[in-house]
Amino acid sequence: MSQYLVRRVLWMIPTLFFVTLITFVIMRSTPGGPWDTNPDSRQNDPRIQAALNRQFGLDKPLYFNPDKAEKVAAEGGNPIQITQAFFDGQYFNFIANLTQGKLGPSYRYRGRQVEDILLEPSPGRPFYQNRVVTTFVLGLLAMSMALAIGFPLGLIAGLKQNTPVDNVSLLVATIGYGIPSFILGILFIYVFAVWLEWIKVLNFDYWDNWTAWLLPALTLAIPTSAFIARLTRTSVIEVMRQDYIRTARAKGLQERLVIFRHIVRNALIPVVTYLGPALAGLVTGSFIIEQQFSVNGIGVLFVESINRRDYGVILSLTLFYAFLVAFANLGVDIVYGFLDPRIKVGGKG
Amino acid sequence: MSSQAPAINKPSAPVQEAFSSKKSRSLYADAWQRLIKNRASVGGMLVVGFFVLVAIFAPLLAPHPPQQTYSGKTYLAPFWASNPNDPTHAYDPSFPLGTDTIGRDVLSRVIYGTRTSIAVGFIPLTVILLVGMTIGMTAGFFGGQTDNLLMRLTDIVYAFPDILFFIIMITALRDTWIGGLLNGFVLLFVSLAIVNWTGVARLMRGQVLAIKEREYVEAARSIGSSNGRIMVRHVLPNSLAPIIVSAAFIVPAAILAEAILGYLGIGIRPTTDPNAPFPTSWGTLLLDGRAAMSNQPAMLIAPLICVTSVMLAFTFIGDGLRDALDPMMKGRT
Repeated sequence: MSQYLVRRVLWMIPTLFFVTLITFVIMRSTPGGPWDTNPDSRQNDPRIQAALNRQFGLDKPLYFNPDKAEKVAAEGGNPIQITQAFFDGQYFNFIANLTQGKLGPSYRYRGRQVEDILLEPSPGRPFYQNRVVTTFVLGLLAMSMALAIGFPLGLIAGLKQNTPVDNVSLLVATIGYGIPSFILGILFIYVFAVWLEWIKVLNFDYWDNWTAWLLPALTLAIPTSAFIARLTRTSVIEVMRQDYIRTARAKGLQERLVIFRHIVRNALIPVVTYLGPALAGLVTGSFIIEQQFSVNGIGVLFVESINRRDYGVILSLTLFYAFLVAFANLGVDIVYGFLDPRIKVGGKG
Repeated sequence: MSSQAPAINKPSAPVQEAFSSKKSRSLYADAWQRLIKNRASVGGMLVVGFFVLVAIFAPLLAPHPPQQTYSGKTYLAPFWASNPNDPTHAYDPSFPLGTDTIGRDVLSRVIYGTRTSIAVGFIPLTVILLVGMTIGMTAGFFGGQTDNLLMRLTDIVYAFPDILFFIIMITALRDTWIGGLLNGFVLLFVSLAIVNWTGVARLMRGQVLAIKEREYVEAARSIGSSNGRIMVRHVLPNSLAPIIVSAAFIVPAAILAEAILGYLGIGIRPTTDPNAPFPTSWGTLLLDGRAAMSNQPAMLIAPLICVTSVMLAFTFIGDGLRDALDPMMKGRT
């Protein structure tokens, strides 16, 4: 187990390295620099562009910098300095900063670092009301809702297998699973904001009104809850066929205790293992919901950055999401081993 | 109880019939029978069939050219909101769903949008299946270093959240030559294919790993069949079922991805070319519709209904296919 864990964690390093490399290659293969495609300020002056490039290190070569290495060597630098100079390209500088928790500059928010944009609250707000926390609050709220709706629905359906209750729950779950959050978001905004005028989606801060979180969180939660319901139902049906349930009933245990002590506990295993990818999915999937409901989180920043071609932000946020997914998958694999000792995680695969 | 004894030696009539007179059917004929007994799946297939026909016959069905702007006919109301006494809700019977901000027929645009979305669903699928199955087969069948290398490659692609990968690819490549082909259509295909093959490859590899240990493969090998023959004749046909099921989920995922990208304003590019085969898409229409949501809800509702019904249809087809192809798995999520 521990050996497997070490291997799993170590393997994440090259994976994430390549993820950064691919993102970097794609972003830099774009024709034109970040300055000349900015519709807000058309800086045609080449001197300004050169100055900006120098400031952001965009005048350096993309990967390796042999010229600088030669220069350092000619000046009599030691091998470490020469190596450093050789790797003084845009990509390796980005990686080096990343290991120190620096995500690099934003090309659009003048003089600001990406990590500052992510972690600084709007002016006059307490420190925790920043973009990262906003996104995670939305994600966790959606996750709790998904569990609170999905698990009981699946449990009831499974316990009453092949009854009308089961059929209706399964149909509801299939429909909920089939309609993506993106579509639900548009639908809810149309119904609740435009038609019924119950909610506002513009010009207010979610931190001022906690009930406002509920609708975007629900939108995000519905497909996940439907999936959890289906997962729970299957799992309950399977558990109910097990010998230990028959034993529990045979020894005269009350039905309530059979359900809560034996069925629920065992049926939870596949659901818990699904929570890792579910959270990653909810947090990454939330960017479209954030954009629709104007929740000022990471996702909105991402969508804005696409339109503004703020490569610094796009690159770091893609990485952020990729890290999140990688860690969620790792977490699941570990939890799986603990929850169900029958599963050997050390095997090949 | 004594009456049961002879019954063991002499099978009852239905059992006899099942063994003798029933024509032997292939796995797929059997699965098809199960699939068409599933009412939800049949409904799903009808819906998808309808949209495919609409996509193919778009030029015949659309009452107006989708790019044609009718001056003086902007913001016509759809049929359900018409009010002859209210000039802001004027209705013209030749525009059943009304017109948009610049006087284009909403119905015709939705019909042409169907074309794009259906194409986006099905065309990349062939590439995804071809690449994914080849790589999965190679990795699973040969194992060892090949397997390691190929699976690490899929791990890396897999680490990207899909939609983000589409977004960075499309934002980066939009202004290159490839982004301009068929107003951005080709780039959309390429991005979808690059991201989605990994799922198929993983699935295929898992199948192949299990199947290559089976007795019939061993038997084929022992009579001297070549690797290629074993792969094509034995492993491939037996590993198809889960791939078919996954295909039923790849198509709607691609349609949804297009809708999201269009909605974010980075899907199909707007074009004024009257002969463009793919002038608009459901995603683009959703974006237009959202902007005009309060004045002209038909512009939002029409593409919304289309996307929703296709998504649901594929969910039911996928569920039905899974139950049909693998009866042991029936009822699983």
